[in-house]
Amino acid sequence: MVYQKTLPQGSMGVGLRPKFYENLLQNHHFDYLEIISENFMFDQPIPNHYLSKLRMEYPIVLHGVSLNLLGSEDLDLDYLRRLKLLSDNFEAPFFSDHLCWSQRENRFHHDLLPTPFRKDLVQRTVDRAKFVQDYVGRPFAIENLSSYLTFKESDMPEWEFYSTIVEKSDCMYLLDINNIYVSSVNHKFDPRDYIDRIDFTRVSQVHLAGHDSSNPNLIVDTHDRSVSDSVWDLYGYALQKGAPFPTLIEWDENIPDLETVYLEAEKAKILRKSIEASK
Amino acid sequence: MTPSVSFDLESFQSLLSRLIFTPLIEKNHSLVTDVTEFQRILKQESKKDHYSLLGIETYSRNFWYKHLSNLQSSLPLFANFLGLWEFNKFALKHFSDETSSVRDLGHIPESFFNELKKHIDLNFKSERHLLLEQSLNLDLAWHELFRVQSIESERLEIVPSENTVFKLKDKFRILQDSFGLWDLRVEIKSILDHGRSPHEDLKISQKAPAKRSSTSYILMKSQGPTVDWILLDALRGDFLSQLNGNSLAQAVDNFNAQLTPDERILAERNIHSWVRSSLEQNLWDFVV
Repeated sequence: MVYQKTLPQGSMGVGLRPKFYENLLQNHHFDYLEIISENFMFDQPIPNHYLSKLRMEYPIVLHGVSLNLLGSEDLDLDYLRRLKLLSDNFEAPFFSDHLCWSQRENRFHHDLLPTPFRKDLVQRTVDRAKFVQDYVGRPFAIENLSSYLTFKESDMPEWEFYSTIVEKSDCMYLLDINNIYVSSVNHKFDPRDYIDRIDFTRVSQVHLAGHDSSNPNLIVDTHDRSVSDSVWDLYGYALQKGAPFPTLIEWDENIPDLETVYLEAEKAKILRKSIEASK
Repeated sequence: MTPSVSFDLESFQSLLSRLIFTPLIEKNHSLVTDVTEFQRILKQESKKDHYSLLGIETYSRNFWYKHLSNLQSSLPLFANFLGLWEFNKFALKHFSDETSSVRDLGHIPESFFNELKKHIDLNFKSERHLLLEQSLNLDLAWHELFRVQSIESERLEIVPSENTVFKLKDKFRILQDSFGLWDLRVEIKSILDHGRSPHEDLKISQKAPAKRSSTSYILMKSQGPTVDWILLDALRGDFLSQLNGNSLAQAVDNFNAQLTPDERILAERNIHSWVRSSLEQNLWDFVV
């Protein structure tokens, strides 16, 4: 597969939430939308009605939370069938999910859970990622995780585990800068080392979001507030390394009005322009 | 698709699941993670020093808080009736053995619903009984209404406006306040399934408008864009006259049989709102 960045370079997107439906139809502040795949793949009438209208105005990319790429069980083919149908219906330039596991024995955690970073898990994950990408028939972007557990069983750094899987499976990166920052604090590594390892020609988009750092020993990826200064700094570093790339603001709890989210996107644009000008 | 690996992924995930699903416990009138149980499980599995308790607590708390908060917002009247504290404790007890096994956090398992009703029946009788019935009926009514709406919307490929749904919700609340013990769920289901209520005074009845002819449709359609409203109104009248005495499904079938493909497209976009406004008007008339 020849890798092409399928959204316009430097474009700004927003995670689609019901609160934004009407405003997004009336005002075109953003260049593209990202939907949570599971919210639209089970025949929900109201979301699908809006999505059909929004698709006339914006490119739409799919972002899943329950693929279970690192799960110990076989991939769910019914889920993949629905995912393919959704991505075909809305002509998604690419789809994404996380480098995590989220369920076992038909019990859903409703969370994105980590595994140890191990060499002997790489090939299995590469095979699964390739299978998913081939099945859906569109580029598959894998997102790095934020996590709260360090495993003694790990035998390689997270960024090596992540980049090896993405590159060997011929998939793409969905690079979440906030997740890198959260994990770097929780697991005590330099987040710039992480970014240095990324091949930006494979980055489909970058995610930005807020986190809760009220407990300095363990910060939590909450998506319920503005992007922190530390994450903006790290975003600036990523821009220096690989700009331009599409950037998306995620907000999942305490969701503000769309204008507030747009201000975050504007901040990202200004930062990008200043870094491009200084190059 | 899943080659074997030397690291035992299945055992690892089984252990972490077990830790995360460990129910919260009551401490100083709060629901908190059960660190003692985490330690016991880790010791039993010879992983005592492998994982940070703070990390496990975070995942476990995330799971339970998300779950409880979703139950509260899905069953707001039950939650208000019992009080959040009692509601959470009850839900925690129920789901300790039966953790959610669905993708959609909005799904409320029937077993939980039934157990919740039993719990309230057993523990809150006498003076709170009326309130209980009101709460139960309204929550049940909402479940039923949304279930039926969802099926109908999908079948007819139409979508109710969110504003209309909110307005309807207010009216149901007033209706429920007025009738207390009345089982609104049965009423809604009956109306949507059969086009009439078992309650004599609450049947779908509309003044049947004059029948339009195919020629009048064609004439109206030829008069430019503003005429769509007239056509729509005529279609609405015809549909409502079909609804009078027929089941919803039968009314839709009869109605569709008379239409041209273009008319059908226009009608299908609106049938659901006609049904809803008709239902709403009848219920509202009944209350006032």
